[in-house]
Amino acid sequence: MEVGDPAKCKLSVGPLLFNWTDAQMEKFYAEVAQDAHIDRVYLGEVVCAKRFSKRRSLFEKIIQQLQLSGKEVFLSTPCLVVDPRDLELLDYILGFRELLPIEANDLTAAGELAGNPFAVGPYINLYGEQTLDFFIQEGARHLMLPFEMGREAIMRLQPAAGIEVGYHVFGLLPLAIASRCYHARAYGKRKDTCGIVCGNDPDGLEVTTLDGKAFLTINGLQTLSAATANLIQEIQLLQKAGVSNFRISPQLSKMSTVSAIFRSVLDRHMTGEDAARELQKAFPDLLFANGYFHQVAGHAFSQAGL
Amino acid sequence: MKAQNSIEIICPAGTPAALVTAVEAGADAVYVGLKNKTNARNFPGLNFSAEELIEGVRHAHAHNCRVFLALNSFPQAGDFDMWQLSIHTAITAGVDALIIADLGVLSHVHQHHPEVRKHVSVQAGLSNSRVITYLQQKFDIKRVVLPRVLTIPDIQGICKETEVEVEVFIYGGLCPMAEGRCLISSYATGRSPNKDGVCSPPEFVRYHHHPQGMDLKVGDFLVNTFQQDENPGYPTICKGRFQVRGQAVYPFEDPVSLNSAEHIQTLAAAGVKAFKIEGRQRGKAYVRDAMTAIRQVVGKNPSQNFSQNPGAGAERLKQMSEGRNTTTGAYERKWK
Repeated sequence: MEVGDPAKCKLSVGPLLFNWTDAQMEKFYAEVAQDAHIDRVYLGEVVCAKRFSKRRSLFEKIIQQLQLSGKEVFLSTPCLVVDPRDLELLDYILGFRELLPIEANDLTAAGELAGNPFAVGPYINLYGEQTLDFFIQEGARHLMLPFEMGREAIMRLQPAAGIEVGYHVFGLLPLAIASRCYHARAYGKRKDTCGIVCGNDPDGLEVTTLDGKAFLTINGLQTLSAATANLIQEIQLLQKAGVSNFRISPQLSKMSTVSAIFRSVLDRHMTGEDAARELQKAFPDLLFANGYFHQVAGHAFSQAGL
Repeated sequence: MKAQNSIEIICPAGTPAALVTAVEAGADAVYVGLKNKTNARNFPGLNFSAEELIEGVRHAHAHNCRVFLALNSFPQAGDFDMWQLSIHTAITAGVDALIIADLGVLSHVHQHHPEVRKHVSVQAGLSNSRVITYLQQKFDIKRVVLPRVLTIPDIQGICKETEVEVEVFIYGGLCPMAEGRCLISSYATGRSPNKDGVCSPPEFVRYHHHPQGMDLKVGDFLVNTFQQDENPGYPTICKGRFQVRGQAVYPFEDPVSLNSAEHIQTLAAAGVKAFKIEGRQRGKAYVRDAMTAIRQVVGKNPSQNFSQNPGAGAERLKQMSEGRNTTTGAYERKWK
């Protein structure tokens, strides 16, 4: 097989990280279902079990809708599993294991899935060859690389045959998870009585420095970057390094524009430079970042990708 | 040797001098790291060379104190030779346990050095009994250092549901984020705890003095600004002051440190085996004072009875903390 064979490259949509309304979710996934550029969709609440408690029927409806429209569906587990509510969400997702591939986002899920094929999510600390070997022995068949992994490490990891490797190529970067809720804290509430205030900010809550520079984004228990990862100019390098799953992260605005541009570059119908200009035009207000891939500060953005 | 059911106080030793101090102050065990990025305190001027480790272990063992070696960052692709050498150095020096975060390292040590005692680092973030049992079955781990996200009932549950020894942090610096799951440092600077063993690394810290006071930057980001008369702590990014919803606030954590000495007795009753003081980056005076004060709180032989007069030690611990502000962290569910 040619390295980076376009026919083998998947464009996927990662799990929704924000707390959208049912209506926002329905509209978004109806569009994704109709979007021919997208091969795979990851579903599941990875940030906060509390948000998910009344969402099961909608969740199952969306799974069905995506499957009917021919999308490959993976389910993602929560990235921090501490209390009974987290375990309940984890067990609910694991309940689909006979039906759908599951992406483990913490070691609890990995342990439960070990012995059968599963996917290692980007929230699991897998940086080196020995660690990859261990997870492959346990049954890993798909791997989303950690968000902070850079080019040389990706090239060196030289994935063993039979494991698919993915990278986060568009969307805010998840940077941290905590057991305390910073959204609740920002609104002067406690986690137990949070009133799900994270729903007020469907693209997250901005954290800027005291001198006004965009820095981070609060999303409940999760802290994301302020900048949007944008690896459009690095697609060919990623393909050469063995990456075949290109994942974009749900956002409210213009997801189909993003998927169309990435698909054009994956299929080599458009150059990375042209596509970068298209993305800039589509999102004139977004700060972009590709520093992690280039092994510098994650927030950095270099236009000279190639 | 100490009785089977006694609890242990584990003391940080960032340098050979701190190790001697910790031993003198009555630590049951010290934890140390090598001078490379295999541990999460890879800061200039800290840690042990191979020779210093041999001497440190000899000294500690001569005084009935055990030595644990932290191998608790995550090996990067292409780095494993350095990791193997570090594991070899530690075993040759005769350390009593390796504190490991990465599953590839755990797997390697289990396979090639089955006789070596394995503790799982807080950086692995094992936060429930199911995952602890999984790693026990997989790698025969003997102890887990619990993340600082758990409440006392969570910890009681874990002690009940697993056979693995439980160690918890009781004093010192506090990560507001789940340990081993935070990339904020590398987002701002390119270097992170997981990859490089450093958080908010000193070479990226800038202090800018001006007539109104001082600005603190990490990489390109202003993380706090102080009036002339304020005493800034080390500018760890998550402990910085930022603007959220139009206000200057500490969105993640106030500048406080953990002090849960008052809960030692409850936690010990729940089955917690070891209590750990954070701070390999701190000096000899801190190590001596923290160890002495905690010894005062728990008494000499805590398996029989706790100190009848813990007050003086507890008071001392409060005074030593950063800005004299302490928190009991997640233990009391104040975050819930």
